Amino acid sequence: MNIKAATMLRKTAFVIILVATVVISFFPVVWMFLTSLKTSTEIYAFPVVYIPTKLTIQNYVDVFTQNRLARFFFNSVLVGSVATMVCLAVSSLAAYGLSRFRVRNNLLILVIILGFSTFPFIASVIPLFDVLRRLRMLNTYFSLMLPYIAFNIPFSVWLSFAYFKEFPLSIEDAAKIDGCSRLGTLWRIFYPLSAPVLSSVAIVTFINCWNEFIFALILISKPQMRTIPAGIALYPGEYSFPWETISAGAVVATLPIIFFIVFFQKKIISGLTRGAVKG
Amino acid sequence: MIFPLIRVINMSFFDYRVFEGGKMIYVGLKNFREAFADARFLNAVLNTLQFTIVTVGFQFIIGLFIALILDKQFRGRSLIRMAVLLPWALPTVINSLLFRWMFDGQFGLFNDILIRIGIVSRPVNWLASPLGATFAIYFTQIWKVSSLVGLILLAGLQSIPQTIYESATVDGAGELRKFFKLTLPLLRPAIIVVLIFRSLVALQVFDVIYAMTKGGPADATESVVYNIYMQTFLFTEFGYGSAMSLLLSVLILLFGFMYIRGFYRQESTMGEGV
Repeated sequence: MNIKAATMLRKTAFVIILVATVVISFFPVVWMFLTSLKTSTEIYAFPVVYIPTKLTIQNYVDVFTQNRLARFFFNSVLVGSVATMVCLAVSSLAAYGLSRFRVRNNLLILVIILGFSTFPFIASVIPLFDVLRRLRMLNTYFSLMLPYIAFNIPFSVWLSFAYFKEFPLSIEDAAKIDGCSRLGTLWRIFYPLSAPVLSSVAIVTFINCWNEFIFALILISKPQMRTIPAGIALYPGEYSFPWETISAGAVVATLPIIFFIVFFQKKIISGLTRGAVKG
Repeated sequence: MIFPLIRVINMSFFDYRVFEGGKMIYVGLKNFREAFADARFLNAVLNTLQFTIVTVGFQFIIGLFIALILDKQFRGRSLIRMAVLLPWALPTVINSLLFRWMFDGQFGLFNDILIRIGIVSRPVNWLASPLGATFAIYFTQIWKVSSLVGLILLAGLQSIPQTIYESATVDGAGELRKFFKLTLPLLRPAIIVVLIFRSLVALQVFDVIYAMTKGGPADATESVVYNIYMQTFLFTEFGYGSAMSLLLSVLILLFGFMYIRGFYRQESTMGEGV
């Protein structure tokens, strides 16, 4: 085989693998979308109907009018955005403190914070359920925000810390000379300068909250308080699976995710990989 | 974070049924002894270990493959980036429900494809047999996480300076040799972190199982967390549930300790390097 043919072969294999990756990643979502536009007769047909012959938006109408999807969506947005903001505020302050004041063993503190993040969800949801029940606070937004904030803080402290400690001290000295307080420095200099990393952290945190299931399943039992994944997962009855509503609901639940990965893909990737690989 | 830890340790020593009057009766280590004698719990432990080893293994192999492919310059990177992010970014419950639908015994897409290309002649009822359900869950999980592993390994690959490869080429090293002698050793820190972290998550598997099989058929796919969830919240055995979740925590903290040590080392060597 000559060199030209070999490179051709290589290129073709490369393209095939790329196309396969794209197809394998996208097909479940495409399939979900197609299913959601089918009529019940075509959903429950075998051999499978691939392209719906009669397009219908009835499933979407049903899912909003009969199944509180709008409410689930609202709950998820509210819980996710409040949790993200609080988490960011707390963790940036912590990271600022750890990176700027002479805290002894600051790396050890960070490691302990990270250690707590590995504590299993199931082991913390049991006592949390018990306490919230005694306080009559189950089925509130607060009951979900609390664990979401707590479990996302370690990761975002770690990322912000890694970024903050790279800033030269001279920036702060300059700010101090110009009459800027500690918090003023954080607000006017650190936040604007670290916008890239903070926004990555915020997006990843929000997606984590949006997707979280185990707390949402256990701490919320009132249908109108459910977040979107728990709401949809609980559509099925004991023996029947209404795929019409599930697929339409799933499409709606996925829309914000699609929005994020279309517009913020680089930010998400840097948020995800910075944590695992330094430098 | 500290409060739930102390509280769960405390609760694990009691016989505590929340909805039956909520009295806590001190029973010492009884809950722990029960867990070690509970065939269903031990079954769930085995299932979970097997799940962790198989899925993390495949995620690593496929992820490494994806990383090596993506570590090249080509057009359409943005589409690929989306393709790689999508499985990770979907809510796990939602994608598991989707796969459940595709693995459906009566109307499922996979059966239809398999019949069309002639691999099977009759629809397979995947989720009704222990083996089929296990396969379906592994498949779903591997689909979901491999690309994320790929991304992290890719970031590791890109931090390896190109000059090393160039000098290896000058020294006459072949592609395979470069991969095993350079790429893998240099990628080691990233590999260790990703393997431990994925194991940490896989040991706590719950969403996929809840959405696809609820532990069935005949407990064949029941995981530790699912078992604890049932004992605690469906049978309201809070004390017993706490004890079991504490046992899981010990296992996880072991992994967590290794994970953090990996992190700590990277951080401190970074400091020395600069």
